[in-house]
Amino acid sequence: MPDVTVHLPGLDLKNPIMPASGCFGFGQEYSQFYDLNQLGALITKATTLKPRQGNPTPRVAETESGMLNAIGLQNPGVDHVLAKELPWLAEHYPELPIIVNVAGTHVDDYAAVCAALKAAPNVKAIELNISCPNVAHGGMEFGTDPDSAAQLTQACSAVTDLPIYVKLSPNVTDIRPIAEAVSRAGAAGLSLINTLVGERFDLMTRQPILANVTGGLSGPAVKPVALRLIQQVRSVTDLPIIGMGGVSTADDALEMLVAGADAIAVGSANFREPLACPNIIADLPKRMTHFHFENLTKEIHWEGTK
Amino acid sequence: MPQQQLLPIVAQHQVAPEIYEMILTAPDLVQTAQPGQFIDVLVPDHPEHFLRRPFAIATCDAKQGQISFTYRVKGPGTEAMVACQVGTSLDVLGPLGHGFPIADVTPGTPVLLVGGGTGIPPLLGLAQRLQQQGAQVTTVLGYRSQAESFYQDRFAKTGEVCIASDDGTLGFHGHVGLLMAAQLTERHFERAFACGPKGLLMAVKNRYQAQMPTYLSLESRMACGIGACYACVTPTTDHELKKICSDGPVFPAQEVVL
Ligand SMILES: Cc1cc2nc3c(=O)[nH]c(=O)nc-3n(C[C@H](O)[C@H](O)[C@H](O)COP(=O)(O)OP(=O)(O)OC[C@H]3O[C@@H](n4cnc5c(N)ncnc54)[C@H](O)[C@@H]3O)c2cc1C
Ligand SMILES: Cc1cc2nc3c(=O)[nH]c(=O)nc-3n(C[C@H](O)[C@H](O)[C@H](O)COP(=O)(O)O)c2cc1C
Ligand code: FES
Repeated sequence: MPDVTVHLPGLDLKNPIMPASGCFGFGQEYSQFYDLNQLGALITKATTLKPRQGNPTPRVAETESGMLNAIGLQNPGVDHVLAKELPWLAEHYPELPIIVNVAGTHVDDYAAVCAALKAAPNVKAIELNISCPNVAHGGMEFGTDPDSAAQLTQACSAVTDLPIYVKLSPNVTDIRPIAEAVSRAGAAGLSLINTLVGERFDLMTRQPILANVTGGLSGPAVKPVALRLIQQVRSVTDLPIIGMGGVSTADDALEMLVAGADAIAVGSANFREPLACPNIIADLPKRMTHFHFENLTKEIHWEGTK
Repeated sequence: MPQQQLLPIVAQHQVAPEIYEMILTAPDLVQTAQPGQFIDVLVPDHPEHFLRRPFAIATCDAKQGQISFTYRVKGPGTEAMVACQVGTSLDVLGPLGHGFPIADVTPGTPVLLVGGGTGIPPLLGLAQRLQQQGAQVTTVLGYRSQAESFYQDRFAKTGEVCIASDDGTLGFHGHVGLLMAAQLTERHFERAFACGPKGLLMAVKNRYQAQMPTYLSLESRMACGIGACYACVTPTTDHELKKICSDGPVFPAQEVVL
């Protein structure tokens, strides 16, 4: 049997597959469909210091083999997440490593959420969302400027012992300087890609479908872009990468690992196929055997990036 | 508890221009589904139609183990569904959401159902269930025109039916709000249920919510359909947001801002 375990800072994973932030709530809904203990880990919805209401509706639109979303970081706030969501996960899935996606508007509130998460023993890592394209001050200004990204990473690392995976935006001319800047600032790992900014219009009304006008593109349509950006980031850093963007099958996951990722998050595919993650996990060893992978260490990264 | 199932298509037929009824074998769903709940359907053979489509469960036939839903062809997804063949199966999540609360409706209770367009199908299952419970059912149905009308005969078997059409070719000339104002002001009901376009829901909310328990079924664009993604929210009167897919789609009228 090929070895599907993956070992990253803070995360000893029995397999590399985890649901992506915002596509799996805090786990309860999908636990109606399967035992979440099958997952390598779970990434939560973005969590901010105060509860957030998000954007007006419609918040989603379909695109060819993908979708746009403009949820706008609606979440119940870190106090509620600590009081309700994380304890629920700890009670039902004590062994499941949780990664909390942290969002904010200023360095201070990001850092306050990171500090507060110390109180939850099942949180094994933080994913710092500096890339939400859907709110005016949702972090993307951090994610598109290397200096601000580095400052934020440093401020957050200073208040927590948890490893910080910085989630990068694809909506930049060159992603490498940002990856390098957060790497120097103390990031334990990187996570990419967040969604690509897009729009759709309704021909009957001649209006944008999304109330927010723009939204973030995800799903199979973005996979080639994600692969390219992961491969590019891999070429400038040795930090572990949680890769995501359009993964729906074990082959998609393996392709992303070859491009330079070390673990895989599955987002929009959950909506189409609620069993997307367990299906990928079940198929992975078979597909690894088929393609002659013995394990999922760095050795499988494309040598062009090494 | 929602399930994912492959449900065989038993029949599909047109009930009005651009409106189709699909009947599925669903022995598990008929046991648990409540009127007002919905299913989330994957468009077969078209992976480019990435998201599932939500449709209200119209009727449940416990004896045959079959459910039906009725849909309007709106875009490419429903257009592709018209081509689905009997004998093939649909990948369905369901039953989803919370339906109309009717468990405590006692025999003889006069209830009002108000539906328009594709909000009409789920009211058929509701009317049938209320009739079984012995309620006195009055249904108001709104159509664009006689040519686009459907299911009046089936509603007629459940009780009294009042019909309005936008162009006056069938029944009352005008929308259901005007019909209610013209014909139902003197009538006594103890509970009201509505499903349809926003104007219809507003009319029912404004007319009845202060007088009797009034329930509205809402729609929204969805992604997950089960409460995980926050795509489908509606504002509530106490300035919160509720998820239409999992907190609804049926809400007490007083709870939601339309
Ligand atoms: C709870 C609920 C119950 C519904 N019940 C019925 C029903 O019984 N009969 C019926 O005809 N219609 C119903 N609808 C509306 C139905 O879901 C849409 O008409 C359908 O999804 C359109 O799909 P399409 O492929 O034709 O359109 P497309 O334009 O190709 O759809 C693209 C995307 O937008 C979504 N979408 C487009 N219009 C709507 C809409 N009005 N509401 C929600 N999502 C939309 C689709 O689901 C899909 O994800 C219901 C909607 C909800 C939320
Ligand atoms: C509905 C929706 C909500 C999302 N919410 C968040 C979020 O709160 N925080 C975040 O970092 N990314 C969020 N994302 C981005 C995903 O985590 C992921 O990076 C992206 O969708 C690409 O992966 P996919 O193609 O597998 O969906 C969201 C995506 C979707 C579709
Ligand atoms: S559609 Fe995802 S929360 Fe309702």
